[in-house]
Amino acid sequence: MSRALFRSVLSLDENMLLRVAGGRGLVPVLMASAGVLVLGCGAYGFAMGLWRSPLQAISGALKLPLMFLATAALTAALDVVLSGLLRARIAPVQALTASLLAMAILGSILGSLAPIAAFVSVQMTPPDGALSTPTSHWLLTGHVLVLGAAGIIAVARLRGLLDALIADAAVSRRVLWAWMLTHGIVGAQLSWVLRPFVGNPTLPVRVFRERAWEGSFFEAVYDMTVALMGLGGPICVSLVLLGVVVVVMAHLDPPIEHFELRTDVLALRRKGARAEFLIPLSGIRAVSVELGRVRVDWQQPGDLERSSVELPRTDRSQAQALLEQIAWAARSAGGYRAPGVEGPARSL
Amino acid sequence: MQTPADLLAEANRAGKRPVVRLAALSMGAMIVVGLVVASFSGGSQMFVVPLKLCLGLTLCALLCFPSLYVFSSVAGAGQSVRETSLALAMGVSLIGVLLVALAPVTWLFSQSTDAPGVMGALHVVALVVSATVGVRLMSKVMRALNGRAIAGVRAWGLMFVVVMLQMTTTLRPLVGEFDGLWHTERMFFLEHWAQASTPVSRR
Repeated sequence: MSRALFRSVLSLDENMLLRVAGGRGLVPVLMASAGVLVLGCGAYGFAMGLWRSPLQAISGALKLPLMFLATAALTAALDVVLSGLLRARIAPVQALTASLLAMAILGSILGSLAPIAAFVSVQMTPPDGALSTPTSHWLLTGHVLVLGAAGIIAVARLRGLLDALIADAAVSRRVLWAWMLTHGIVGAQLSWVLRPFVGNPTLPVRVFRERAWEGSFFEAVYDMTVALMGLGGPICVSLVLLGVVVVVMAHLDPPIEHFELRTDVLALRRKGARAEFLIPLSGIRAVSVELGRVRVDWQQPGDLERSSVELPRTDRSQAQALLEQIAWAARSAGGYRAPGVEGPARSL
Repeated sequence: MQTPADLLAEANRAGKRPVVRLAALSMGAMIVVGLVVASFSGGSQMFVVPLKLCLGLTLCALLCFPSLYVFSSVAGAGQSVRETSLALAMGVSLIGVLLVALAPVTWLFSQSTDAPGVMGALHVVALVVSATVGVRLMSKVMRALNGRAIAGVRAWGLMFVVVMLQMTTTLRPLVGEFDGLWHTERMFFLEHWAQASTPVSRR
């Protein structure tokens, strides 16, 4: 594997986007991504365990990459199925490459921070039984924050990659959040199973906990919040999670910001999207006006269900004029006359 | 998953048998899922559970097929028996594929518990999620075949899910230790769940 390929994986440049979008020659990309992930996470895992002991550092260097690779492996099938169900229209190998590329970026960020993390580890008060428990908690909190920040950057890059692969930004956002959810749940449980990473100073150094498979990450979070805040703890956490879900749901379907009727396509750009997506006029099935907005129902080839977009128009007569314009263009392009469309929609 | 309309088009071509291929896909998926479910108890269950799941899914499809055809016909649908069987096969195979995709996740969580009740609950959640998506696909196929939404399909879907849940009780033990090919004691699935979640000392 060439140095250029590694560089391309890290920077996720135009060539890499085109390569993934083309869907060919992706095996070397998968290998390079896995390589970057193992090296970067290995270095950071080493730094995490360095405070406790050299054995803990070595086990961390093996376990952190293992955690991410296992997360990728356990969620691979679900990633492919979810992207299919959400109508992303990307090949399984493209879905896997996108997922692993995001992890490689995460690995590269962690790898670049490993020297600093190692420096901090060796500068902290050395482990000394129960006395150094607060130090271990601070270290763990710091590492969790670094992992979280690296994860956010990786997700932002994955979003760009998915936008390049999937035409409609609404679909690419759904895929992104679905993947984040599954990776988050599986990754959290694996971090519980493969613990400790920093090492508890009151316990002997171990690669795995004696009862590693007992309990789960989510039970541990529940117990911790109950211990800190009583029964209000889990309720607070649930409310925060509910808030996150509401915010995510509100941003899943970004509105159309700009649209243009071209020769044989309707070009649309969603708010916040980096590129426009095109609806072939021949795929348009119905047009209607609802509350001053023009609603366009369209169908992709091979799909059983219609998708719909709403084009912003404040003025009712303006909306009606646009409806006529789209309806005429779509009929000219061969949009078929759909049977039995209810409501005020104009079937084509 | 991506282009279901192509399958419908293929079904109309002479010599093509998508239902057979979809059934084979479903059976393959059930074998994989059965192995994952049986890995909790191991032993004889590794051979018995995959076969039981294949049998269970086939029985569910056969039991519910007449009602799907009749319900949709009563609701004004005009598709043929063959097209109805295709819709059912598409939905059932999607359920299988989704269960296979969820299998690694359920396996991971299965390792953190020794309680068959918890494990059973996890598999039931996966089954209900997959069945919901599968029924949604059947509903879309019916809509595409008839050019409009068919009212009875969603209600039928609820019945299909209940039949699947009852089948998990009928074919028990699936998650727990092997203690005979199946239990002869008749039981409704809710009763079975209540019994499974009660500690042995309280029974």
